[in-house]
This record gives sequence, structure tokens and C-alpha cells, in this order.
Amino acid sequence: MTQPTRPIQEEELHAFVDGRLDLARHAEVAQQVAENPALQARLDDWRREAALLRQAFAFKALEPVPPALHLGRLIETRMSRTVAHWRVAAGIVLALGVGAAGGWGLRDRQRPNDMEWLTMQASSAHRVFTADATRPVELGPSDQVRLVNWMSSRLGRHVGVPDLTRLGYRFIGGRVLAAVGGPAGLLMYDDAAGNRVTVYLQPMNTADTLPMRPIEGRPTDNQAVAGYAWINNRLGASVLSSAGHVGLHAVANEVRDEIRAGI
Amino acid sequence: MSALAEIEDAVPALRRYAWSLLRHHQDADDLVQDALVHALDFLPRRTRDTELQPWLFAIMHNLFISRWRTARRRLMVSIDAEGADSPVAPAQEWSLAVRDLVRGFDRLAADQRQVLLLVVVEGLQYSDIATILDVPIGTIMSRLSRGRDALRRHMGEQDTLTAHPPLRRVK
Repeated sequence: MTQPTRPIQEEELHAFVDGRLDLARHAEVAQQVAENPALQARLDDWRREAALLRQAFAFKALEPVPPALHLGRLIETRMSRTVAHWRVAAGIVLALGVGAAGGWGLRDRQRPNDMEWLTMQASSAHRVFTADATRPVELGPSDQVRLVNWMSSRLGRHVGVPDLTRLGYRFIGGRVLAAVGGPAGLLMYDDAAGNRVTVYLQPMNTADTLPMRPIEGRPTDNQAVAGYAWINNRLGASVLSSAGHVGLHAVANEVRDEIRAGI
Repeated sequence: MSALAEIEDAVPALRRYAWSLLRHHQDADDLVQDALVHALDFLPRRTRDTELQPWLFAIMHNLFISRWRTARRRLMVSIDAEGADSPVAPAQEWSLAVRDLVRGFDRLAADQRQVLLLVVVEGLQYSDIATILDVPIGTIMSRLSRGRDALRRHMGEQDTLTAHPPLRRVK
């Protein structure tokens, strides 16, 4: 049976030499090449040169892989690099004089997640301003309307002042703060015994909603801080007090409910 | 096989391609390391529609283009300074025929060399190479064709020289 075969395309010559043709076409091309000495010579040369090119570079793939390219090593290096990353950020917090940002369960994971950023900064703010004897808040209860306008404009959303009198807490005042990601708001309360509680509010770029969870700071310096944090509708919030302060969960629930209700 | 194991398996080929591009042992391993670090960073976001090996080659090739041009230029200058007749030799001895071939190969245009390396040495599919080099497959085929024929002409000239050495010119 002598059905005329398709003429060979230039591209098929390469696919033929590289073994990329299907079996039927490979046989057809082989037949035509065998009948054409000039073409046969050309392809033989291609094959010979391909073999030499492979020989030239083969040694490199046979060398033992140097330790610097072992994946385990690279993953370790990469982890320490990203850990260094958050250490730099924590260092900035320290340099600003807002106290040690340490702990908060980072442990050996690479980078602080949203919750960790939130609690790190909230705890710094709590430590600094609850301990401030001169001016713990910028605007007091008599300036509540101004405070609400100030915070709302800087945080880019309406932020009210939760009313915690029912739970035994008096509103002292608040301020806008500089956080790493942008402006944040701090509200301060105290109870009859003088225990101070802060509500920290910060818009979050990434996480939309994370349920409330207890947070506990490592007692890195003079004052251990504990409380609750959550993210709702891209607003990060935390309620903090000194570690061991009872009844804070109820406060946190109240704050969350009032913020969610738009106060 | 896990993605990490697959990456690990690709390292020898990546080192070979990096060295054949750069002809410098340390530069080549730095390029591979760069590529692996990138691959680890991007692994979670990798789409499943590409095979891992071509994906790694693509990452490395892009880094080569964006960061290693200078290193390569430095290399080309050093080759020129040494003269085209002494290509950078690997640790292992190259046979005379391999030396001839590499000399011709080094005279090809960079884009032809890359295609030849990926087709002939790395044995990748044409379509994957088109993705790696970010050019249409037709361009790959024409570079392959020009590269192969230029190499053949070069080797033909070498054969002629060997068979009929040029007469020594007497002053």
C-alpha cells in the first residue's frame, strides 16, 4: 500500500530527533529520512552534537548537591529570616519606648499573624498608658463627643465608647495611637478598686473576622497583661487588664456586643 | 511524591542548567539557591496546571534574566579576555570533541543556547520551554532550528580544519 505520506515539516524533524513524534508519524518520517541522504546526514549531525552537548554538561548534575542547596537548610534559613522580620518590627515598638512586645504565643512560627500583631500592640499601649500618672488619656469623659469624632475619623469607621457602668467600670477617656499598621484607638476604664482596663481598637487589613480568644502576655517586664482579643468586620479589638483580673470576660463580651451593634 | 521531594529531585538539573548558563560554579549555585528560596515562597500559591520541574526552571530563568545579567556580562567579558579559543573548562576534563562543540555553542545567540540546553540537555517538552522562556512555541522551534544548524556548520568547519590543516604562512 503506497499512500503518499505528508511531506515533513521542519518542526517535525526536531520532534523526530527529540523523540516527540507519535509512533505512526515517527515511522513515516524515519522512512522519508532514510530515502534522503542529505537529510539523513543533517539529522545524524544534530544527534551527534546533542550527545556532545549532553556530555559537556552532564558532570554538573552528577556532582553531590552542596549543603547550601539542601531544602531542609533553606527552609531553616527562610524561617529565621522571617522571624528576623518580626523581630525588626518588635524592635521598632521597643525603640518607640512602648515596652517589650514579647511573647503572645509566637513561639517558633515565622511571622506574627493578625491576632499577634493586634495583641502585641494592644498590650504595649495598655502598659504604657495605664501606667502614665500624668496624662493616661488625651480626652476625658466630658470630651466624649470629640473623642468619638477623632477616633472615627482616624480609624476610618464609626467607633463609639462602650458603656461599662453596668459592670462596675467608669470611663476615664481615650486617645488615638500610632500603631505599626496605622492609627489605632485606646479607651480606658477603671473600677472602684482602681484596676484599669483598656479597650484597644485597630482596623485590620487582612483578617476579616476571628472569634474572641483569651490572650496572655509573657511577663516580660514589670507588668503581666491578660485579656481577650477578636477581629470583627476588619476591626481588631482587645480588652486588657492586669493578669489575674477577674470578670474581664464579661467586659470583653459587652464591648464586642456594643461595637457590633454600632454603639 | 510530595512537592518538596520533587523540588529536591530537580536540584541536580537546576544546577546543570544554571552552570551551563553562567559557567561559574559559585554564581550558578547562588542562582539555584535564589530559585529554590523563591520556589519555597511561592509553593503555596502555585497553580496545579503546570508540572513542578518546568515551574522551577521558569522561576530560575526569570531570576537569571532579572538579576544575573550583570554576572553573565562579567563572565562574557572574562571569556573574551581569555579569547574564544579557551572556553571555561569544568572541573572534569572535556574531550577534544566536546571542547570543539562548546566553542561553537558559545558563539550562538543567547536565546538559541537557552533553547538548545532546555531541549537537548534538560529534555523538556517544547511547550514547557515556551512557558519557561515566555515566548510562543513557534519561536522556540525556529531558535532550535537555527541553533542546531549553526552548531552543525561550526562542527563541519572543525572537521574540515582537522582533515586539512591550513598551510603555515611563511613570511
